[in-house]
Order: sequence, then structure tokens, then C-alpha cells
Amino acid sequence: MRLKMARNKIIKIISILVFTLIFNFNSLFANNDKTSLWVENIGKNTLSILGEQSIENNKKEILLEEIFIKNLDIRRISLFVLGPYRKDLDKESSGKYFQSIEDFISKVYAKRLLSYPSGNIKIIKNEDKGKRGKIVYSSIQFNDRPKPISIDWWVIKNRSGDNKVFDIRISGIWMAQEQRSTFTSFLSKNDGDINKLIERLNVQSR
Amino acid sequence: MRYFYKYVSFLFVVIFISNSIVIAEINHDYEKTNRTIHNFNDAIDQNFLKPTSKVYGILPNFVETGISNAISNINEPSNILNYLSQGNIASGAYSLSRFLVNSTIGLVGLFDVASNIGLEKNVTDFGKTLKIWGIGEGQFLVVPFLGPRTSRHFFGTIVDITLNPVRYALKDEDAIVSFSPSIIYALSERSRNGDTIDNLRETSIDYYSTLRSIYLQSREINIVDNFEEDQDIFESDLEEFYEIENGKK
Repeated sequence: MRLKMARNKIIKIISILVFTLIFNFNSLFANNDKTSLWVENIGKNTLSILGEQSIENNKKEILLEEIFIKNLDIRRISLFVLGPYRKDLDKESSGKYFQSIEDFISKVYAKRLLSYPSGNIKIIKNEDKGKRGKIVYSSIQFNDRPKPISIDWWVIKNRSGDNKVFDIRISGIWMAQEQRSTFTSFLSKNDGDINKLIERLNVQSR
Repeated sequence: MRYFYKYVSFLFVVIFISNSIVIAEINHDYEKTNRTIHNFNDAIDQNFLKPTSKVYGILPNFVETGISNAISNINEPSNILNYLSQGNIASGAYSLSRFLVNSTIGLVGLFDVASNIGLEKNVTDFGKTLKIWGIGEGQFLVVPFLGPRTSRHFFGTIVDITLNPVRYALKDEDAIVSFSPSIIYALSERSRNGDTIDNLRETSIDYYSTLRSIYLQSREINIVDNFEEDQDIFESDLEEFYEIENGKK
């Protein structure tokens, strides 16, 4: 009887130890998983370009555009920002639209980013959203600001299983959500004509 | 005491009126008028705020920070009243502690000592109080000088202005998107974020809609306590993309 009690006690202790180890292991490496490291790298590359004083702004803009094109899931973003109008996207206009929006997003956001100085990125945590991807929470301490700015990254996998950024939340504002509001408003004023949107995107990207 | 009676009478008026303005979602019925007022506010920004903020930007950072801290401290009593009206006693006590610390050790609020000892700034307003009381957002409006507002937020702003005119005369937390006449804060924010605002204006395909989206998103953060839980706004769309990619559609 005593032996049985002692055995149960040992099993209980081992279970608690195993549970504690697993729990601590997960929390220890929560910020160091592959997605967080991938995001951290993008952040560091971007900040190093912004802080590089030997490079002129035109060149910086091109380098930032390359980062966007490489790491954003442009196709999904393109569809998302159309809102209900994406059902009107036919094969004929879709090719032109995807190209225009790639130019628009990369150029516009590169231009917007250029007004920021360099800084340091810190990954805070990440949240697994299952097949919908992960949200990586980070904060960036820009060199000219007294307080860090929170930047969250919605990361999803593409068909090849590579990480791609679907959306970025800067100080609480989701960028793709902001664009969707703007695009759907433009389309509603122009009878849902996607060709007019393409023309406008091309003008803005120049 | 007079201040307290004034506040209580306002609560009654609001409860009375609120029954007629409960609307579940944000409506956008006045777009044409909104766009006209937006153009007016934009002209104010470009012709007055932008050039003046450049002059304001010459001030040393510590002077700007001191002024901003003092104005923020003036706003704490309004935060306390709103938290109490929301039934949030803990946050009311928290704001009271901040007010006491900054008004004494922080030399009338010039120094934000409270933040340095872990009492970080919290902001609330009567718009949030109305939300807690079950009032819907109502219409999306653009108000001259004040900028984007939902009708609930606008009504809350009127109450907040009446309760604490100094706050809105000097500092409006939404000044970054509102170009409000709360001169000092607006100038300070315009000076600090000048390039960002100008970039946004230049690169947006519809500046009015961009500001509307930014306002509504930032307002959501201000009034939803646990906005982390409220972040799944894209999921239905994302799900649809996955279904398209997986050939289910």
C-alpha cells in the first residue's frame, strides 16, 4: 500500500516537472521562433537602410521597395483592399491591377517610411492564429522619439510555405485596413470601375 | 461642488437624449457635407497649422514636453469623472494618484513624475462613457476645426468641453487627425509628425477616406479596453482567400 502511494507520488512529481519544463521551454523560446526571427530581420534591415547616411534618399527608396516586394503578400493584400469589389475583378484587368498595386504599395510605403530615422526593433511576443498565420508584436524605438512605437506584423504562409507579411499595424492602425477603406470609397464613387482605380494607382506611383 | 452638480445634471440630460440616438453601427450618410468640411479643415491645416507648427518646432524639446505634460495634467480630473461614470473605480483612483503626484512632486504637472514611477498615462472621454452606457456610434461626421468624429464622440466632446474647457482650448488627444483648434497640442503634434501627415496627404488616393479609416481605427483603440481581442477584423476575408487557394471556391 505504502509502495503504491510512493509510486503515485513520484508519478505526480514527474508529471509536474515535465509540465513545468514544457511550459518554461515554450515561454523561453516564444520570442525566438522562426517567424519572430524572420520579422526581426526585416525590421533590422529596414532600420539599417533608414539609418545609412551614405545612401541618398532615392537609393534608400529603391532598397525599401525591394524589401516590400520580397516580403509582402501583395496578391492577398490586393484582393483584401478591394473589399466587396474584388468579385468584379476579371482576368483581363487582374494582371494590370496586380502590377499597379505592387508598384503603388511598394512606392507609397517606401516614401512614407523615409520620414523615419533609424532605431532598434524589439520582438515582444507572437500569437499563433492557426491557419490564419501569426501576429508578431514588436516595438521600435526610433532615434528621434522619446517613446517606442508598437508595430505588429500579421504573418501568413504562401503556397510554398514561405512567410509573407499580410498586414502591419503601426500604433494601432492596420495599414491594409486603411487602404481598403480608401479603395472601396474610391470605387464606390466611380461605379466600381477597377480600370479607373488602376489609372489612379499608376498616377500615385509615379 | 458646483462642478459636481453641473456634471450630474449633464448625466441626466445625456441619459434622456441617448434613447433617441442609439444606432448600432457607424453610418456614413453625410459624405458630401463631410467632404466639404474636410476640404475646409485641410485648407486650415495647409495655410495655418503647417507653417505655424514649423515656428513652434523651434522650441527646445524640454519646453514642448513640459507644456504638453502640464496640459495633460489639467485633463486628469476629467478622466477621473469619466472613469467613475463608467463604474471603473480602479482607473478613477489610478488617475487621481497620477493627478496628485504630478500636481505636487511634478511641479503643477510640468514633469510627468507619475509615469516614471509606473503610473503610465491613461486617457478616457465622455464618448467612451456613452459607449459603456450602451449608446451606438451613430453617424460619421467631419466637424469644422475638430475634424473626424462619430456622432457619439462629438456629443461626448461637447460634454467634455463643457466640463473642462481648458482641455479643449489647449489640447485635443485627436488633434493629429482632427486639425482642431486646440492650438498648443495641435501645433506640437503637427510639428512632430509633419512629414508623416504630409506624406499621407500626398500618397493617399483619397485623403478623406484615409483620415476616416485612421480615425475610426484609432478611436477603436481608445475606447476598447482590451483591443487585442478585437483584432480579428480580417479573418472572414482571409478565410475566403484560403478557400480560393485551396480550390474550395
